[in-house]
Amino acid sequence: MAEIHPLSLAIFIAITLLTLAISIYAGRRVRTAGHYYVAGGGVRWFVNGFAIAGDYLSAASFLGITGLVAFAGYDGFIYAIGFLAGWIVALFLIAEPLRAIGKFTFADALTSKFKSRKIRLAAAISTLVVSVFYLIPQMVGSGSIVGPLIGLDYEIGVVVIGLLVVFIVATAGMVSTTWVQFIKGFMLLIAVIALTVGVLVAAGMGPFEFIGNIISSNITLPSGATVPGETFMAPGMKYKDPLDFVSLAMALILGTAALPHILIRYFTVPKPADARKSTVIAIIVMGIFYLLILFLGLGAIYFFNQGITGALNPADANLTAPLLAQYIGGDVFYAVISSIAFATILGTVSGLIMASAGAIAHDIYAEVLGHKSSEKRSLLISKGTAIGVGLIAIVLGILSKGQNVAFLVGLAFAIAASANLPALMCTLFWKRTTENGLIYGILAGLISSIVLIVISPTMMGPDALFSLNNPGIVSIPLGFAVTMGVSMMGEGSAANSKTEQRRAEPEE
Amino acid sequence: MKNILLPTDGSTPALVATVKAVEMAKQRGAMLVILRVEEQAPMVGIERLAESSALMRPEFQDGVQYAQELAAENKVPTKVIIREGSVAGEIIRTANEEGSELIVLGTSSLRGLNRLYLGSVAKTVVGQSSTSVVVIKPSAEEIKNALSMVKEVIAETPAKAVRTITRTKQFRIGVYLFAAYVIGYAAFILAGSYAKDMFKAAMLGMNVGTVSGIVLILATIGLAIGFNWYAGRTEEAS
Repeated sequence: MAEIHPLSLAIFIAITLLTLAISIYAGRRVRTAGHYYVAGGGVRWFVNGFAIAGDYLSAASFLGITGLVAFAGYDGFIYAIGFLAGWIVALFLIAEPLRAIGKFTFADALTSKFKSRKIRLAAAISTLVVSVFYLIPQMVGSGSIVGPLIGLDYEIGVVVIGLLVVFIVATAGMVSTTWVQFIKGFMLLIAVIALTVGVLVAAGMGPFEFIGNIISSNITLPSGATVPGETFMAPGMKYKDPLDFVSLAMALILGTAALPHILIRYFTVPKPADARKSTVIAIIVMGIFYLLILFLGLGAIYFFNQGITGALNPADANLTAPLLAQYIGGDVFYAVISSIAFATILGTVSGLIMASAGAIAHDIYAEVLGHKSSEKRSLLISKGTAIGVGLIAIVLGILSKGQNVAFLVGLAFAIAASANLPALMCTLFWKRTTENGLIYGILAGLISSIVLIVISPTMMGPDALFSLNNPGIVSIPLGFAVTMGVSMMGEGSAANSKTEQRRAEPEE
Repeated sequence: MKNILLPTDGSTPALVATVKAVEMAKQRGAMLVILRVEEQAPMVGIERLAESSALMRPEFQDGVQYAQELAAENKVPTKVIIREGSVAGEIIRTANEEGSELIVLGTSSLRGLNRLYLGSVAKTVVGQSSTSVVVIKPSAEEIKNALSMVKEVIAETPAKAVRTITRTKQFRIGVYLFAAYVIGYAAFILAGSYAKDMFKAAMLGMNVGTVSGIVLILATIGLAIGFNWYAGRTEEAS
């Protein structure tokens, strides 16, 4: 077991107390479900922009990609580009129209056209599946970095993070979640800028010169093998199968704008234009982040090759960023970066729990099952659900100890792109969409992407029935095809009451 | 033309006042002057949130839009004024400038700390205005009624609201930019998957792959900023 790092622990406790104070302060005035789920719709776009970045940039982005670049060079960088590219879909197609039709949850947006319980149920299930698959890696991540960074056991790490998040979401829901994500987004930006400057100063080179230097020298990998820099800085170190990579790239660009915990952030601003402006702020923050993360990863491998073996840990790529910080700025910087990594997990997990609680308490319990109750009571139910989801997350985190769950994030993106995006796009832009089209489309995307993952090499080994690790290239087109196909078939039968309902809408 | 001034902030009492003001304007054949005052007082976001929740501001509601739609339904002509400054002061000033015969406003009947913290706009306006003021203290029933109308307005709007956005030139340009970006991204991914040697060619002291990756990230940021600048300008113009 790793020893306790007093400084990291102290900064971690300080961040924890700050978070609790914000939650308590914000929680005093939350009275209705509207305040709970979407912070009363009164978040300013600038704050929301940073909060979106804070929601989206998970530990996988900060710790994961830094490690990936250090260990696999260019392929790690391609990951960063893909994570950013998805925001273009959000900016140009989704943000403004979605704000115009949404209320609390992703399912609210889909049922704006048809008041259908079935659509709502399908959307709520898909929200839960995507959020849980995204949540498990976050919990596992929090447990496994807590040991080396602060010196606490895996289980304690999961429980502490879990309880903290439960407290954040149970006190003031989206109000406190917004502030945690805002602060985290801001700290993360400062952290990568400071680390990048540190890398370049310590290396004594300009940014382009630094990359050129890596390309022109031989690189000793953490595994001990040596490759020429030009191989390290070209695709193919990690992704051997081009088709698998194309599939992943598709899931990343199309999945981002369909992740429920991201979409709910758009309901917190007052106007569609604010949704656009906050996306722009988020893209600026994340663009800088994903660009500079290249220098963090390359910095670690560069110093490793200079003979500073402490700049990364060959056994654990996730510790690259903190170890790099330790080399550059000593123990204080190490403690600060470690604590920011924790804040990162807090922000993302809070968003995920909000999305899940909304799907259960608002969509399934109140709307689908029809348990309408007073504001006060439904607020209580929402909070209770959030606590329940948080506790389940803790249990899942502890059960998944030692499992390789990193692929679940990729799966979450693929499911979101296959199940949620077709439904969302058709609701917004295709007038001939029918109720059945949406229901079957969501189910087809959801089921096909999960089945393809179950029979993929990740799960079944080399004898897998399906040769790709990421199902996106098959399941995303399938989701669109089913949504549109069923809609067009349904139109043929005049007896279809749903079609009549659609026709009853005023034509322009 | 006679007019009635309706200051609104989208809070529940303001919505009830809106219902009353539209009723009165219809009876009197008066125009409804809808005023929204944006406070200049530097407020950190968390204060704004706390205030929103203390005033029970419905999550989706733009008070001005609500008043406009309600007035349109009742065929009452409207004029929208948006001011910046202290709320009570701007209400009184607007009433004088517009020559309003009546000011209708809601009061939130705050209790305890909230009252101390937020004060009462209605009290100040009644005290200092030379125009007659009708202060609405909403009953539970009236609140329910006003909110149900909000639901009607909203239930009718989603499809329309999306169309208003997707029909703009700005949105069309966004779609073109999106298509251009997707082509660039696809070219990048396909080249990186199937033409790996091309990415190794030297360029600007680095290689083609790294340069195009950096350019793609910078292009994403540039597109976002450029589009926002254009959209903001278009919105201001309309």
